[in-house]
Amino acid sequence: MNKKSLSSLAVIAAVIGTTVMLAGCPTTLSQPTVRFSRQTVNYGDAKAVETVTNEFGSTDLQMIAEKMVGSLLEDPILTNRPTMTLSAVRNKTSEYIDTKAIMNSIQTALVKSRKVRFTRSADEMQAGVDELQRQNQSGLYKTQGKAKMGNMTAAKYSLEGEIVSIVKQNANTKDVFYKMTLKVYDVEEGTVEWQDEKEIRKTSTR
Amino acid sequence: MTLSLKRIALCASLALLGATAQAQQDAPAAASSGIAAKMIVRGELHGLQAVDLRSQRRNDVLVVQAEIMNMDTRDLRLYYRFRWLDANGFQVGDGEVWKPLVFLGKQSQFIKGTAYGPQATDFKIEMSAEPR
Repeated sequence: MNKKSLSSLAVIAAVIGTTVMLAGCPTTLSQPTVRFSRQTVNYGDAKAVETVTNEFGSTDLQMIAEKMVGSLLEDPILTNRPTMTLSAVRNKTSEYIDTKAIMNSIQTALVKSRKVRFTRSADEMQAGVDELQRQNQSGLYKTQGKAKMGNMTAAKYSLEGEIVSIVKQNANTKDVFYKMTLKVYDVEEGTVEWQDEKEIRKTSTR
Repeated sequence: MTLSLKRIALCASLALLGATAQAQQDAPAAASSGIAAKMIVRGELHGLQAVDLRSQRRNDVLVVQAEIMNMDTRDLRLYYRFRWLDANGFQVGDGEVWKPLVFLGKQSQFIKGTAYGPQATDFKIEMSAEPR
């Protein structure tokens, strides 16, 4: 093989190599995460992964609700479409977390599944009592179609839980560990009939 | 002559590098066409591959589990979510939140999803990945 042939071979190999390399470079697609645009307002994906800070956020709330709903739905406890009510969820973290928002997401998904019936929670009871009294004691309504007193359905189960966090921090790293525990109690018997946990770890560096 | 040989060696290295990158890009997102049919993949999965997929109805609700394997030695971050469909192909529910999951090199992990209710009869797994 002479020098000219070798040079030609080198050029061909270079062309092939470059072509293959270029073909091997995929187009970079954006990921489903919340973007930090400056000086602009945009509607974003409510289901995107939010990592603006490592405090409790929308993705944590949604992931917890999904995990708990999935776990409950596949459990035989819901076989005969039982009645359930929401009770308190204790926030034992160092942050302000609206635990009612988590429970509302769980309740919404469960109601839409039609696998469970929810009764008024203690928070929601006064509005129901007020309406019943208005219909029965105000003298404004005709008897037909009036909601009768004493016909409310009591909940067989009560949904209760708590959320805790462990925070560790050094000069350049902050690690937050969240654990949400949810339990279904049989109201009459006081026994735990279902329980699950969702753990989330978030680490940020400066 | 020595210069030419060096150029050949350099070009061959570049070609090999390119071929390696191409092979990585070409790593299929699913181990079989049956699994691939259930996946919606955005771009490249950078070496992540669904190696197993199974589903069953529990308490009249569809439950799906997939095993995802990182074929690469690099750490990767997967974003995934399940999409649930009824018998007519309509989406059930509002759609799940994207969930991040970190894979160490050569690590395998299970992802599991439960449908929103009995009306879901089919599913898709939507995936997107990036180097960690």
